[in-house]
Amino acid sequence: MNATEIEHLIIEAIQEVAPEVDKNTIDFDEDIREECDLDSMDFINYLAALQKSTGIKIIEADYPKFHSINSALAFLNDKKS
Amino acid sequence: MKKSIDITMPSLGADMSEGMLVEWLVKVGNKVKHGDVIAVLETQKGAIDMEAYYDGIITELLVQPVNTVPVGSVLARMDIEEKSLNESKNQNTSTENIIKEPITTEEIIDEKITPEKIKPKQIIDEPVLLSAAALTEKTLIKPQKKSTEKLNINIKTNSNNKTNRVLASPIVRKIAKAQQLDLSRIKGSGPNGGIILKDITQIAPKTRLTVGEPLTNMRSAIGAAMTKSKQEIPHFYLSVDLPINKAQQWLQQANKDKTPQTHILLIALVLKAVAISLQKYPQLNGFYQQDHFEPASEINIANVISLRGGGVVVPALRHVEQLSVLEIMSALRDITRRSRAIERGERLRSSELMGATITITNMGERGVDQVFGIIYPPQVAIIGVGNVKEVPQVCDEKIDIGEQITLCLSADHRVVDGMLAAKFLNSLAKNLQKPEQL
Repeated sequence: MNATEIEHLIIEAIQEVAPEVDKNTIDFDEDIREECDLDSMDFINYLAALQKSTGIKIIEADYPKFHSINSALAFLNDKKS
Repeated sequence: MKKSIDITMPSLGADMSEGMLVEWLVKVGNKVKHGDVIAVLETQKGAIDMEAYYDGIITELLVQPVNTVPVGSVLARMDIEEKSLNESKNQNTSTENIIKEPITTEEIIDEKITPEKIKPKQIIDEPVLLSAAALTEKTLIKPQKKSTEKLNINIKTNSNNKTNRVLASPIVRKIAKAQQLDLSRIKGSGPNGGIILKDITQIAPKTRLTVGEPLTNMRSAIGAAMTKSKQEIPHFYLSVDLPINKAQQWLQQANKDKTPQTHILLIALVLKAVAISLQKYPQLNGFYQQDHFEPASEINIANVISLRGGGVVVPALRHVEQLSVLEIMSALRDITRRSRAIERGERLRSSELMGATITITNMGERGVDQVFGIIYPPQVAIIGVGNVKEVPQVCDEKIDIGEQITLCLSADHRVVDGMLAAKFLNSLAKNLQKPEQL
């Protein structure tokens, strides 16, 4: 699983809860809850989908690392290596 | 012994007057079980999986896709064992008037009377008249002309009936029940002032529904239901500011090292606390219909879920009193995801949109302090949940910073008074101070 594949899985997981989101219109450094208008339930569902697709365990202490796409990319890249 | 029963267009809430049959997932002769998805409907709430409510065999498919028909119209028929009907009735005694799909004995039909089949692609301009054609009964004079033309209705009068019972034909009662119209408020133009189809056709909401216009229809459907509620239900409102420090601490512990699949949000605790308080105050859990209140024996809490493109759906979690907090959370995650995932083809099930006994609307996520909701008829209460905010709190003669939410209750004054509503809110507040017991 390379960086491009991880990015693809992140976008897919966001689209699980926000199907209309276009990756070209999101700022990867901003908080995705604001960028993609996710509420808490959506955010938990996003993380659940991402954990399932990447196979990487995400615990509550890690949640802040998923607030932006770039921080999530860094975290998941780090975990898989 | 076998009985033939009608499978009708279900009422998936007070804001639904008609639905579109998009696809049959069964054929004549198929065996189905209770809970099997038998058809896909397109409604103001989006695409819905319609379930069977009995075990049995499909005997007729009377409406072909794609067709829009009013709530209550017969879509198909199935044969079931009479034993199965009785068992289902026994199981659902308390929910008979909320779950419209389980057919009551009066709807068991005479097989010799066959409703006119609705042809595919037929444009239906007179939903109520069509419903009459589909639901032809012995008490109706058979139409001499085609079903799309006006029907004459034989109003059945009972000279022995000395009560103030409203005169109306069975078909009018059936439609009124499906669309939750109060017949006592309708002036009949039939014999002896009886209400005939024409009278309710003028009143029943006629929301046209076509694929591709979900938002417009949803908006008008919500508008019709909420207008009806505000016009008919004498709402009153109470609120309580509730410290939630203990609940938050409990959640922090419960969620520690947990994965998203087992993460619990505050709203799940609130739902459980509501269910426990409703067991103590059942007067807020049930239905006001035909001038009286009927408490429900199960606690089915509807959750207002805003859709990403605008509008809301209000699916219910059933038997919340029997679920653990984790089970409630899991179910909430699931219905939220499916409600908002229409574009991926996921759907809610018809049973999830029926039978709610009370509603919760959670606006806290959007930074709102308080929300006083409009009651979803025929329910008698709706609870609003505000945002979590830090406030100064007095504890042991010291001022500390603590967390608080505001819970609001809108209740139907025909059924409860302020005192009982206040007791319910206080009970709810107490329950949330003991999260470990929820």
